[in-house]
Amino acid sequence: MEEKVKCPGCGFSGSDFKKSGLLGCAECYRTFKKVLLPLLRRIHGSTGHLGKIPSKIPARHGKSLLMESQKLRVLREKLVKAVREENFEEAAKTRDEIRKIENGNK
Amino acid sequence: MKMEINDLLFHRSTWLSADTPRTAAVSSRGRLARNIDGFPFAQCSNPEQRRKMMEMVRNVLEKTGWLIKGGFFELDKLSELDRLFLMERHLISKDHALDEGERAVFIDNDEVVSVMVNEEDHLRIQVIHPGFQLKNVWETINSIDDHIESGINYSFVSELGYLTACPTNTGTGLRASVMLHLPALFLANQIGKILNSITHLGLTIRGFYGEGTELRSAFFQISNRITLGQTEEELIDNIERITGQVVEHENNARDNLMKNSRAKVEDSIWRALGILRNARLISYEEALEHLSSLRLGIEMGIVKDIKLPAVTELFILTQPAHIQKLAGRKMEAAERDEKRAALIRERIGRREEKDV
Repeated sequence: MEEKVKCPGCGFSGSDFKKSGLLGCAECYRTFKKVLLPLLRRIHGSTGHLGKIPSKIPARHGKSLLMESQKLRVLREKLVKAVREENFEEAAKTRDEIRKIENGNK
Repeated sequence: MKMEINDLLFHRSTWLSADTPRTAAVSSRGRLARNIDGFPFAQCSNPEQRRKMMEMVRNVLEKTGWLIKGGFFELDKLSELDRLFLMERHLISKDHALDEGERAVFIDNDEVVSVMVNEEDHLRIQVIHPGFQLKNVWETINSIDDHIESGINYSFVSELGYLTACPTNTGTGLRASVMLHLPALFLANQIGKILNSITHLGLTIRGFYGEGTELRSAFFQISNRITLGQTEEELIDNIERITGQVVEHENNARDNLMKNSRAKVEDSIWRALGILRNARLISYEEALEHLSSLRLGIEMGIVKDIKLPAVTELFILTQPAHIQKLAGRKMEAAERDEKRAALIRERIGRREEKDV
């Protein structure tokens, strides 16, 4: 963990996060991305939001915070839909596509 | 009319009114964690920013017509007793009651909706309904969330969803839970087994007051552990399905109890009622234990002259801050025990002609 890294948004450091388990501001998600993403995956088994989207998202948030492509997000949604409809062939195909992109990003 | 804290004292919270035997579900609850865009999370905000947050939330509640349907309370201006009183009614969290600094809560007149400001997140929107109705909880909470969002920009990014102070809430920010009364499983020592299997299914089981509370009574809250990677509807479906199975186990355990040790079960229920109706001093722990037995007795049709909501309400009213609020002053534990015993006799004592 990069304990000395400070978040430009709130001055929170990596060691503050480690100590409290809490983040200081929204910007911290970008600052501590390297430790946060694997942590989110461990906690939730996923790093992609599929739930509610507020009706008005501030313009600057249209940009990707974590550089995940829109394509990956579309694929994730497709996967959930396929599983829900018990279309397992489609689901397996989609999952493979997601894996391919995710592994390519490493 | 503006709501005062003392108005709540003589009001039965809507979520206590479930009167459907054999469901074991006392209440269903949901809470959404939300943060306001452009401000550090609550624990990193300075007093000025925290005040600004309270003002923003108060304004949006006023504009959307919620404010006149309840009360908005700044917690640093309330006494400790009043804050504990709100905690005992499940309207604010323990942390929110005991923390310091600028923080607030909005409570609607029916005690269905509460909105905490400057808890761990800027906003914690909570909805509680009686019985087993998580879908209605989601409908209500989703619409309040829309109302608040009409006047506030939330911290949100498309990949991760709603950004929260703790990574365990990131995504939907939704924690949905059902409060269950599982006396037969508790008696049969099977809670541990259920706890184990539930954890594997992405759910958590907790005590009466949620996080950090012990599993010392027969009341349990089952809630989702994960908040990211599933839709709100999926999270809720999952809890509903598994809660349904737990309730089935509880009902089987009750049938077994009645088949194998009917006299023993009936004896313990009638003894519990005997103590509740006759004790002159009773601690909260002891009251909790006997009220739990009594509730089982009513649900199984053994005790017929007492209604379920009256007993559920006593779980709330017999707590320390409630006893002191009812007395109108601070009291030591011994004095509270006397007042508590009197309150229970008054509520469920034997009345020859009158239906209680």
